[in-house]
Amino acid sequence: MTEQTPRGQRWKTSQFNEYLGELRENNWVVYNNLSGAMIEVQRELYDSIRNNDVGYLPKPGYYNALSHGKFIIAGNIDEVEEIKRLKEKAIESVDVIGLQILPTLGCNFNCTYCFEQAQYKRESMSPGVMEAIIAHVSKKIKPTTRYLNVMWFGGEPLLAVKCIRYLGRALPELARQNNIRYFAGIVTNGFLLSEKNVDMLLQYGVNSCQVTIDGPESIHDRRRRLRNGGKTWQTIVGNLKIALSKGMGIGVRVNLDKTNIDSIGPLLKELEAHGILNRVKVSFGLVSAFGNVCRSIEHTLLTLPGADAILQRERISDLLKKPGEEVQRPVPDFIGCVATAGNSVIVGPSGELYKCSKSIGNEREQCGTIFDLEEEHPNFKKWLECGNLDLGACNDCSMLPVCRGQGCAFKYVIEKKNIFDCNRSVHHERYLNKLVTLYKQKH
Amino acid sequence: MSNMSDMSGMRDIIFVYDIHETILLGAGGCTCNYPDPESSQMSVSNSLHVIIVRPE
Repeated sequence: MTEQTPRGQRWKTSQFNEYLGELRENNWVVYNNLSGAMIEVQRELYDSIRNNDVGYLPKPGYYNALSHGKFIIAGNIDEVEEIKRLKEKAIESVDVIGLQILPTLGCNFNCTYCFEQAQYKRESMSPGVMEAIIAHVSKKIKPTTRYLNVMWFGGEPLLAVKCIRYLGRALPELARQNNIRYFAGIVTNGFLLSEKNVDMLLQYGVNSCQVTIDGPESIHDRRRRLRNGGKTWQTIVGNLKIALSKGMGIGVRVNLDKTNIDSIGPLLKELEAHGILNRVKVSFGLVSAFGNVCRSIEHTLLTLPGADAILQRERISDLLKKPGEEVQRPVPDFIGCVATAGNSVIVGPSGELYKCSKSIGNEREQCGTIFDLEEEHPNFKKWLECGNLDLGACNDCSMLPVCRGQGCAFKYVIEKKNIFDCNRSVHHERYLNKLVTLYKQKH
Repeated sequence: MSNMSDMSGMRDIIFVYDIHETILLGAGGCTCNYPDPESSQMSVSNSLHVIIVRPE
């Protein structure tokens, strides 16, 4: 005879469970996307959980274990509201101060798809603006602040090395004085990532770089040229080798559209031939049209399902697998990006502020200046309200805690597009495969 | 791998992975990456750093 639930509590199955089936003989596996817990159970218990038949489990001890892993929850809990609450908490958190610093909007490249409209402006940040940044950070630091996170961006930030040096001394020192950890990265086109600049970056606390390579040499050099039309691929790849040898963390970003997606396989093979592929993290972006600058390239753009299909067909994920690399457990994401984080902001060279990097150079999207940050400014507040959006179909999805499928906030804050831009059937199948691999790592 | 049998007095539920601490991601970078829900870790470009807080 089964016993009633402890203390008469009502229970129900979490919607965030993933059911992986019988992965070893008589061992049926369940994973929970919020807690990160994974369990092996017998078939009968597996079916009870999956069928939400958890009112009367045969052993009282099951409730303790299953609720610990959040596989079952109290019947009166609304899990989606819990996610919203965690999002609000993360957005309001002062644990992290985030800065994206654009020391210049000038750039030495003339990429075919660049959305920034001020690459010709060569001015770099003045001492007055840099001092205002330091004052801003100082004011933002609270007793609970634990991290100061800086991303150097632009334009091309390595055109303003003096600024990186100046703030690269002051900000880590400010963090140190307040017992805060300091992290810094840089997004650079890589052409000026010389050995001297790598040494400088490492000296000033920048230990991760993202560099864009858009294809094998011939493809990349058509898309990402110097302003005088010169080629860039060879210099970038040479610089990456040196940067890697000095311990710099490197991410290679590939911006995809119809003109280069078929050449990603050859690109990865070229990077492998140069001894780079297994030492970098490759990520992809989709070139998209926003702002007037981009309209001329709309015919070259890919849709997400279209890009998915091509990358799957080319088995790109197989090419990216590193020998011995372990699958990482999925991590719940409650903040998103600098735009949706309450304590993060982008600072332009004149001290102008933005919330979203896609708004850089767009004066209508500025939200004040670093001299007088206006957190009530509509262009600031509207990004933070994303956490309160009704997610519609996403509310029913098992992957809600870990999914970035809500997409880029720019879509619904600026472009007012439907946020349900999800290729769930494709992504969920791949996600389950990843969880199975995660399980097999333990056996 | 932690085994909850000590807690429950049974070996019917084996934890392959115990719960992880709730993670809040701080942001100084931009995510504008290929949206891939199966990969919830942001790339190097996003200056991922992690705050670990105890689950409630």
